[in-house]
Amino acid sequence: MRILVVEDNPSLGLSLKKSLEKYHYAVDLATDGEDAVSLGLSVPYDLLILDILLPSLNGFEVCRQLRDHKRKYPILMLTALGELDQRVTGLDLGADDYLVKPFAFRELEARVRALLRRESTSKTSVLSFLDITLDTTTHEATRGERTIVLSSKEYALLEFLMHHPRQVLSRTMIAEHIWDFDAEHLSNVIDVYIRYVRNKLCAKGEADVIHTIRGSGYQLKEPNQ
Amino acid sequence: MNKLFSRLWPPGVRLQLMFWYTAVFAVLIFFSDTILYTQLQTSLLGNLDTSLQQQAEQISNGITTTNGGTITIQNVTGDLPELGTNATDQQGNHADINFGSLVRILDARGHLLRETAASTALRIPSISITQALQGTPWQGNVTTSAGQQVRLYSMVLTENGTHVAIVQVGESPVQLNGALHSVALELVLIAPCILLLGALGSYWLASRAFVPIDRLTRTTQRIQAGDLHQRVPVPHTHDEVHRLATTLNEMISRLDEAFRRQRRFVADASHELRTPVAVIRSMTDLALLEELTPQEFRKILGNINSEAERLSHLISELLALARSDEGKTLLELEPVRLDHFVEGVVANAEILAMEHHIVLDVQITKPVIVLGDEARLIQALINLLDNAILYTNAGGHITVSVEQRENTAYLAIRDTGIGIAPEHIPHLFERFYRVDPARVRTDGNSSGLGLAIVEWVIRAHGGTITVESQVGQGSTFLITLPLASTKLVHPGALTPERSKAVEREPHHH
Repeated sequence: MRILVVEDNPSLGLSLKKSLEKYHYAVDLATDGEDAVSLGLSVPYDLLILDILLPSLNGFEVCRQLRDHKRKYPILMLTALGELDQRVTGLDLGADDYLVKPFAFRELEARVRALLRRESTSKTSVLSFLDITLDTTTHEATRGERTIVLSSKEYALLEFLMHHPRQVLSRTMIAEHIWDFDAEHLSNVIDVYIRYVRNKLCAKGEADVIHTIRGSGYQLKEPNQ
Repeated sequence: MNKLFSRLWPPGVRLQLMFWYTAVFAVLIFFSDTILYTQLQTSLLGNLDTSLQQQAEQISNGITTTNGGTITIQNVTGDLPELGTNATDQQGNHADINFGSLVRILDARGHLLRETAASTALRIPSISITQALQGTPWQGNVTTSAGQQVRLYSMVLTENGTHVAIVQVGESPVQLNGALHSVALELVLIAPCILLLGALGSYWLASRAFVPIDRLTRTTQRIQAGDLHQRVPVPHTHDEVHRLATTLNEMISRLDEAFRRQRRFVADASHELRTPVAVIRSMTDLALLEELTPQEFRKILGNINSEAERLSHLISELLALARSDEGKTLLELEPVRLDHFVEGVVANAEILAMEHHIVLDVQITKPVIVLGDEARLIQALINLLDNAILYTNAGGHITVSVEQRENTAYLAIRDTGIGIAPEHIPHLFERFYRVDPARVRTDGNSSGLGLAIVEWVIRAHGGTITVESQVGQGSTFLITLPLASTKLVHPGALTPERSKAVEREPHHH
């Protein structure tokens, strides 16, 4: 899941990026409003964390422009302005949630998960597909009774696949969602990570659920009979 | 005033040099003046003592004794009229000790016999008498009752082996001190003049020393960004200016080379970007001209799709290289099992190799752990394998081996392909460099940036990449990477990442 953090305070921005990366999210960082709009229009993010007081364009304006251009990903506003009017303005402009600074990172992460869940079919923190489950809170993956230990990138890959079951996902699409701006071009590496995840899911001879669609990409689907 | 100050502060090199030169001058002058003064003082004092000694000896020549022990004093020097006949007669008669003669004559027991008028003011220390009576003349400073200093010489007069009398001669050092004072005054007055001249001289010298540098600056100013084939003149002397000029020229050469490479890169990039666009244009033109069946449309759309894919791949690689040039890319370093990911990547490439009828082999003897960005290392190996498959004919062999010697991991990719001519090898890792452009055209996936990215990734990891090749025999790409230090790899760091490998190979060791 790829997140854009828009925060002009360099130390807070970096620490948010670092902390979210620990939770297997791919994170880009923008430090002013104009950058945020141009990144938000060009990259298919899964979520935006948006500060309100920003240089060049403020957070309300960024939110309005992105919504005007039909960008539908959830937007979580961060604000030092605890004023009721401000919160209402933000929500009316298309923000999905807000968090008042100072906040606990645990709460931010929980809200991020809740917002991402809203986009997916599952309404709990546990994603499941057939006998595979993925707990987005504890980052535990299981197949049947078996616990699967995943590396950070493998987890990000499986989570993205499980958010979009039965959809054909191209390598570029996957790369755009599980890697940040620095690593976006690594789409050919996806094949190798798919192989890793597949090997782990099928380590005890279970049926393969990650299908390779030649020339298109990958699909999480019921095994072929 | 402020303007002048801001011009002079902080001081330039010339002023700094001038200050330092002047400071050194000042120290030298101080020491030489001090030595001069003390030497002069010692020698003048020595002269005074010698003259006192001579005077005392002359007086003693005029002293004779009769048999009864009576002492007769003849006025030998003739200039001692006030040397009275009786010591007591002259009590209270204070002559100026600075101009009057200071002579005292005592008998062998130390009783005063005669003295000049000025001598009455002297405070004679007893040692001057006792030491003289022991046979050693005494000389030293004594004070008058008014506190003035007087130099005194005291000697015993011996006749036929017995002490007859003591002669004491004194002189005030006023004249001597006057001479010393005037010398000191001259030295103090001359020193600032010398310092001033020295400062001016050193400023002039410093200016002279910087003339060649000024010349270099003017020439460098003339060299504009677009005019990088010019060079600054290098002086024949082998000094700092020579080094500076050579360094400047080397820098200009490097800039020139960088600009040229940049221009070529932009030209190549626009060419590479234009090719897929041209293909798409020609296909859409064709599709728009004719009535086509849905199957034909699908085929054309498929072609357009793969060209677009190639285009977007190229753009993201260009972006990645541009970002790496800016030094903005951060590697996500973690301990990586080189042996495991090599197996993964090779297994992944097997389909492509099989399509080309090439056999892929892996040679790994034991686990090798490096500290690296796994995704980027995987990408580097994928690029190298794609390259090897592209340049190896059907029936060929590609072997990937991983080993570890001392603190270095070695990753080698050997193929039995067509090889690379020696003249191409130095350019192999340049962007868009192609040994055989025709060969690449047949394969739509190569961007011409693959090896440049490999080289960047390996360099960013602190490793090296070298190529050995023989035309017709095949090529070997050898990568070295520094091993992860054992301190950094805490136990368990690899277990979540690589538990799959353990499951697959339970008896690894």
